[in-house]
Amino acid sequence: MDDPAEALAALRAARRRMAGRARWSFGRHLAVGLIMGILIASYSLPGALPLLGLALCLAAVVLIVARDRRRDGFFVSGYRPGRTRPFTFALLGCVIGLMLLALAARHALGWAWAPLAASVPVAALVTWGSLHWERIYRRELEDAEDGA
Amino acid sequence: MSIEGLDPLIHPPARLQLMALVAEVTEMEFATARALLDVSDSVLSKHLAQLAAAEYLALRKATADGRQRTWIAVTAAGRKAFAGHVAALQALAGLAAKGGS
Repeated sequence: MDDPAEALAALRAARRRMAGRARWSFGRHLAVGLIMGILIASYSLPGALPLLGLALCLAAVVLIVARDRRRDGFFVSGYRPGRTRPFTFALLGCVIGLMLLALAARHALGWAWAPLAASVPVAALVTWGSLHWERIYRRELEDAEDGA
Repeated sequence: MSIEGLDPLIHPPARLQLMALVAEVTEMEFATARALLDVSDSVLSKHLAQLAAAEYLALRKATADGRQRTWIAVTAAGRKAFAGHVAALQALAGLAAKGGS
């Protein structure tokens, strides 16, 4: 393949084939949202129980990663470089902000239910965010201008 | 086609496509890469060995469901080399387009 345009076309074709595989079910996105929601909701629990929530959520993440690898034959980190990264950090910022607000309300105002209340919008936001992340990723692969 | 800026190790079509695929994921399993590239086991193994020897790719063996599988990841050096190669291809394609117009 001595023609650079031909080489770039082959590269684009490979990325498009990859885009065809980069699809995850709504259940998979919902699972990620629920994990984040449960993590935050667990801070409504007394004593050291939030640590149990954290451990359960970490275990769930490990299971999801293992399932992705087994089902797809590849794994893509949410923090990968590319168009998805700014979105990942924006989403993470929103989640951390909501979590800090809920924890502040719990500790400063004594609202033990605040993390539980915050868990609902966090779960919804992360589920939507996960779906949107997939769309950005696939679009990047589909219309990649050979960007390495 | 000038070879300036091009990496001869990445230049063969199958290796270029392999690098393009692996650069987009954290890790990819051997069988998935083989299916996406539509090449045989032996051809993919040969390309992997050459790219791994240059430390462009990292290979990891893991056992799953009683079978040993190979997982492929791009290294920082591989990502840099791939980006440089693609930039060189783009520059050459741009020059060729200008020359042809």
